[in-house]
Amino acid sequence: MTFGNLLKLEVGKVFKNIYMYILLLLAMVFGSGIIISINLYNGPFDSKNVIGVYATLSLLFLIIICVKNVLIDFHYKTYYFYFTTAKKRIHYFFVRLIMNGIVAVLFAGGGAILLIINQIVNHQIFELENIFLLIAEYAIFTTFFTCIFLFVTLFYRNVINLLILFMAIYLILPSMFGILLRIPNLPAWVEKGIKIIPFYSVPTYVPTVDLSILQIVTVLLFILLMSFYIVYKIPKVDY
Amino acid sequence: MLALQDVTKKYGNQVALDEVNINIKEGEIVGLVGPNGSGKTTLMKILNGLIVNYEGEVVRNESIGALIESPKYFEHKSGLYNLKYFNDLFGTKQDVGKLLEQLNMDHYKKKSVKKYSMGMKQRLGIALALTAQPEYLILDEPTNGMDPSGVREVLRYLRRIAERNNIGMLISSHILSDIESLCDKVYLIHNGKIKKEHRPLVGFAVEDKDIGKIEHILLDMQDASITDNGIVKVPKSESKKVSQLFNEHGIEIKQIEEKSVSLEEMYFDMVEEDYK
Repeated sequence: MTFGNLLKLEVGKVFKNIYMYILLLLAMVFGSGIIISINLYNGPFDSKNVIGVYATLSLLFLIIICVKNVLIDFHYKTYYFYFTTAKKRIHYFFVRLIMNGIVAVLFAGGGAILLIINQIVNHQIFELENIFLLIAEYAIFTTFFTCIFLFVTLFYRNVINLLILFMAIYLILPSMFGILLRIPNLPAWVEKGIKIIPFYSVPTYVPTVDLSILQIVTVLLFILLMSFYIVYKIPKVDY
Repeated sequence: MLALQDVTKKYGNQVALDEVNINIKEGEIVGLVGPNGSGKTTLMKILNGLIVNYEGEVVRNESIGALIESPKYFEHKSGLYNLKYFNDLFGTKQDVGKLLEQLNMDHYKKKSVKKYSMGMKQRLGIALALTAQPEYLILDEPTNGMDPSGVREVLRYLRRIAERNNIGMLISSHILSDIESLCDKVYLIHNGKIKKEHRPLVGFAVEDKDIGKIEHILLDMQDASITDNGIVKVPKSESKKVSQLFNEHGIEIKQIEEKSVSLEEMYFDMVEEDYK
């Protein structure tokens, strides 16, 4: 089993996944509601809100696909075929990152299409820079969560419990940080600190493509450290 | 060669394997029998590289095909899809259609795996383990869920590919008669320790006049012996070679006897020892 073989097969599976296209289409259909609103009622949305609904839905779908891509081999126990040497285990990690990265780019593409449609229909001009930012933040989003999910599977592999845990990391954890932020008279440094925690910043600011430079740097650093740890640890784990 | 040398594996304070020594040569079929929880799966996972934290030495070849703990495969896909997928993954040019045919799965190849019976899934597991064209096969209860004729058919197939492709195999099973009939050597494992190494012998009944000639022919063969009543006993792994040698030297074989000490007796002795 070579890296190339695994990558080719797994990326092939991504592109052949009909459910992914259905989810993408669904997000686009619901997301286009705002474009219709702008067209019929002339607002109240500004161009920044155009893909708001799409982003919320598409990121939720992205998380579901990421979770599926990470857990499927543990569910089917096919990881027995991939994890027989240290090299194969590391290949597996990077292939999962690339797979989910490709899904992210496809979903970012969906957002870009909506922006283009909005420009044609409502004459709200979008900047190319926003498209790049959209792709970059979606890629950061999936890479971050794929790393987290793969990190957890180093220690625990009950698929059903992991499914619940992963969805909680995405859906509940940011809300808990949000509650902390609503505490009155919270020191500014604490507030700033919470806002740069990737578990809060990524699910909260990526939907509005609003990650600050500091937040992006923090997430990238976090991804880098976690990747190093996974590459170091994965050959040492008993499966 | 595939071997464990003084391998110990602990899960916390619990010892799963205790200074285990085993070896499997190319073309040799080795059995592994023991009660549930005796350490069979742990041993197989260590050999296959899934368990990496242990004490001792493992001599392993990367070219290993394995069927451990009945994987579910990609259940919603067909058997053929699964085989093609792993064939592409391993980059081998195995004729998957032929492989399915040899395992008598031709009619089921386009059905989704979730519709397979347990026995069919096991056959698919064996086929998947073979897609990598391995030099060694590790099979954890490969005949589990198969009907008696299916068991016989699969065991014959395994024997055939071991001989033809010189594949070394480690097979675990609770069906002792299967193991005894198939294996050249059997390890009995209990509480993480290898308690016995059993080598099934084959007895050749020959004419008394040939005994002197036979003694000369089998001079270099370890574990070969001649009983007082003229039965030549050789390890099962050597029986084919011995049969050929007798043929070449014009020695007439009156009868071939495969029964030696019953594996079942040895197994129950081992297990009951613990209750005493």
